[in-house]
Amino acid sequence: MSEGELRAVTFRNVTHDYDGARALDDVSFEVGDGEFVTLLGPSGCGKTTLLRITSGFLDPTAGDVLLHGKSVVGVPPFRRNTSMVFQDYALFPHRTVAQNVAFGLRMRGMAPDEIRRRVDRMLDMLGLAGLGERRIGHISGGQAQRVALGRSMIVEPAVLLLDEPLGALDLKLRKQMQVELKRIQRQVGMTFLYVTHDQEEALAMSDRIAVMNKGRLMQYGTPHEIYRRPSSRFVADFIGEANLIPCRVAERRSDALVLKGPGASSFTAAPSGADPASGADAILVIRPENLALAEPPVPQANTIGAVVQELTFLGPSVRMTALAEGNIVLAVVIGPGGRLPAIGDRIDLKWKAEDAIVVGPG
Amino acid sequence: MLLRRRHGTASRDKHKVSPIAPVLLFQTVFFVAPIGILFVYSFWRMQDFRLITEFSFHNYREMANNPLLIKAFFLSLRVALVVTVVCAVLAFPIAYFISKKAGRWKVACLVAVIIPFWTSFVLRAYAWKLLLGERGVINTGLVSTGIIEAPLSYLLYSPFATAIGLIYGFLPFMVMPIYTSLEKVKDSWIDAAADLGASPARATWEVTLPLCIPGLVVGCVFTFIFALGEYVIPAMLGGGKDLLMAQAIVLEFELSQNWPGGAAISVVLLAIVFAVVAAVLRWVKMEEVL
Repeated sequence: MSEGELRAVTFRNVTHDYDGARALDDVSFEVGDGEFVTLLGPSGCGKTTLLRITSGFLDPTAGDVLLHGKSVVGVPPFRRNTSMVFQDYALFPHRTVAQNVAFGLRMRGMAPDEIRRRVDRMLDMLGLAGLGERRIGHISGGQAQRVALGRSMIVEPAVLLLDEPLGALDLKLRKQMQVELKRIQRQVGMTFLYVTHDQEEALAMSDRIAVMNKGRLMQYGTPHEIYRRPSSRFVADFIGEANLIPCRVAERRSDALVLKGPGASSFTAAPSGADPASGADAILVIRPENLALAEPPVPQANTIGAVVQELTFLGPSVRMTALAEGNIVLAVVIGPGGRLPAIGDRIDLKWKAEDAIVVGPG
Repeated sequence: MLLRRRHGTASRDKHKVSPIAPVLLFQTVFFVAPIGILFVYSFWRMQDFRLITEFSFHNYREMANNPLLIKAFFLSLRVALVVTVVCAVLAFPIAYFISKKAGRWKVACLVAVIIPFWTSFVLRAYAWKLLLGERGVINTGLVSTGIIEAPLSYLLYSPFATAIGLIYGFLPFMVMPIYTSLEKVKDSWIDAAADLGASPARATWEVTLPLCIPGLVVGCVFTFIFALGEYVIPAMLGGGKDLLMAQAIVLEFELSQNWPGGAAISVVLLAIVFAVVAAVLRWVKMEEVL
């Protein structure tokens, strides 16, 4: 088995132009077999275009798409071993639940007995047993979602493509389905390529996340990497909440990056290997949960003075916003048991050097 | 008041007739009454150019014993059936193209389908005469290019010509309802079928076509009924040899001055139309169609 066959999907320099506008710009990454990969980005970032290119409804203007090491560019959707869960589910309204699920197997010319057996098993696994004879108009949104999933999974595609499949569900059902989708995916070991604009959903479900913006792949990595080590200001800002402090790189040492912040403040951060050059503008990124109140005596490095603006009680934690020097609004999450300042107090906020991330200003 | 007390129940009182009263009145005056008169007439008869107002099945017996009428009756059914089938076969791809492939030309295409209605039927029948006649465009063209030696005589004044004229005339009645049905067929359903392994032809057969049945049925009903009763086109293109029902009716009324006889044929034609509509209504739910 060559190395390429281990990868369910390979995108090689995929570019796509829509009426002269660039929807995808030189996107390259790989999806491993059995992996749950999420394409994450704001609307119009090209994630759905990439999904449609994978399924064959669109062909890339340039670049290549490989399924298990074989190029599929130019292969029509009905000859591709991919299967899509559509945003609106696209269930056939003139057929029953069981007939919908059976459709792909029927197109493959499978024997009716075998189809019935597999459909029953699929309905069982999805908790739809007994609903097989229902009409599509007579099932709930959550059930429709499962039927769509079953209809696509039953053909055992090389990669299952999911186009914001939870978008139409209400929040509570969505959270439930997130857990269930992930469980099903792990159980059957199928490769999922999942599109969403909801970063929480992406963080909760994915093995790896491809963050996209304006047709470009911004970062590809595990949820942990994407959250803890964003490679750009966009990723830092888009994934989770981030405090962005404009700085200038003062010195690049082998063990630390020294930065000049607003006023006379000076910070250090762990070097990442892709840091901006000395003297260049940079953004220091600190997550709200990594900021803490500094008690006197206040240390010199990695602190910033601010005035408390707002306190919001969230139950387990309190969210504070404070205005720091240079008109920077900082968000701070104060955990249970933490000391609460009053609005208008002058405070000092500290953080650990390893929790600070330095990205370029762009 | 008395009537209501005798038959009315509390629930029946809730059904107020008032909102649909104008429609009912209109239908009664302009549809039910004339049909009623026609119906009554069909049981009277003419004797020595005098109307005998006695109830009898005379006209219906005459019809059943008139081979020319029987022939016209079956020819009409056959022509209407052929026209309906050909229209359906032609209209589906047209409607499919307009709905799914025309893109920004959609409105232009729809207008192009409807435009023929802006000119009179008679005018369009004359246009077909120019095309189909012995010295018409088609025959002249075929002869001058040497494909045939003598003009094809059956092109005009034949059931063939009638069928062509009817197909051309009623195609929009088939295209529009199919188009309406197709507009309700989501592209994602067709995509899903393809995604699950259905070739374009298979996807059409499995998804698009079944979902178009309501439009197809409405189109077929309209086309069949119109074709069955159409007079102008058969009269102008069909020639006098092979009569259709509508021509027979006109002959009875006009030439023979036999109003009861004409009325009887009309009643039979109407009965067929009602039977077709009733059968279709049993089969498809109208709410799904409209």
